[in-house]
Amino acid sequence: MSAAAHNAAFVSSPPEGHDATDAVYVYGVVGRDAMAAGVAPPTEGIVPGVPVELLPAGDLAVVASRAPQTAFAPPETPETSTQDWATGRALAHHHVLAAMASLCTVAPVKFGALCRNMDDILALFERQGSEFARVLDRVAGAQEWGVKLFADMDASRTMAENTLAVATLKAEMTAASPGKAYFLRKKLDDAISEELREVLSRLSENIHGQLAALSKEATPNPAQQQLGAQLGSKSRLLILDASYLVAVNRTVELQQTVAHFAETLPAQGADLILTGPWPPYSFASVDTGGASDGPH
Amino acid sequence: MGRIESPHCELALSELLDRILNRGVVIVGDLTISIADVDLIYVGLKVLLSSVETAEQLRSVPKPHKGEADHALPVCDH
Repeated sequence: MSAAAHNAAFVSSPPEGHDATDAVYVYGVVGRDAMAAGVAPPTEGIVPGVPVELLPAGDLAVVASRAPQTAFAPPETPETSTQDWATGRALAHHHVLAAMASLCTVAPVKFGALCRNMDDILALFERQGSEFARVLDRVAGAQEWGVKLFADMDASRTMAENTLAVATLKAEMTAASPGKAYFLRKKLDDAISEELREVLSRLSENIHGQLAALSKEATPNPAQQQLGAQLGSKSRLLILDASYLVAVNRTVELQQTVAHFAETLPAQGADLILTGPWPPYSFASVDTGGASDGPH
Repeated sequence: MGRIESPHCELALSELLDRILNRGVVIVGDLTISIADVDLIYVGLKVLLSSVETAEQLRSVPKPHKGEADHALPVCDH
């Protein structure tokens, strides 16, 4: 039996009120076992009034909303800007995935995946079914957490200036002739920069190491170029930005580790922000990312 | 200090949109039709984040599941 025929055997025909030509918006994919376990998807998704359904396909089920294609277009009313509309839809996409992730293992699909009809869903599973299955295996029983570590540059610089190497240079400079002092000043600046890099990388490597050790996987977050301006400043530098895939039964350990950092980091002029749990957005690929990577 | 932020804090919202828009399984291109210009969302979000009224504006974004919307979301501890 061909894969298409195999899948076709499992895909339900549209229930009453659904046109076979309805477009299908895909939030993510779950295992067929989630369906068998009676997992109930949210009653509303990205289109107001349109429910979220689990549509079976082979061993998997797609988390989807079905409606005429026009229902997925921005409204043509002056009181809602297209940007606000699109942001609202993106948040609705997230709410569906967060609700599903609290009930079962889900492989999130990137926002905006609207298939023309059910035939395209069949083609989708024929082409990508095994990829979805591998993602589900990868993220089963785990949740994603985000970590951002900011360093206060003034405090870090003070620490760098108090290191032995820098203090030694400072003492030399005080005793030196004006000409030599000028030379030593440049050397001192270089030494402080070097120590500062050391201080910051030690800090981020220590924290990343401890978090990665209790995670199934860790991956650096891609630079948020368009939002980058929001994420740091001259006095507050983002030195670790990563996602961690943590088994549900190690959540308490993660939170205890973060609480421990909360007590010790202020003395080092650093600020650790934990977000989550997220649906496993950052681990929903099998080809790229996801390797246990160091901080970047 | 360490803390957990909710999506209503600016940083967590930018993390959230970054995840939704940039990550997740990418469906084979020719099987999907675009419903929203992702760059457009970024532009909108940037305006949103740079606004002093960020929190107020976020509260006006309609929630898909009233009453249960936040149950699976990060919690704010401050």
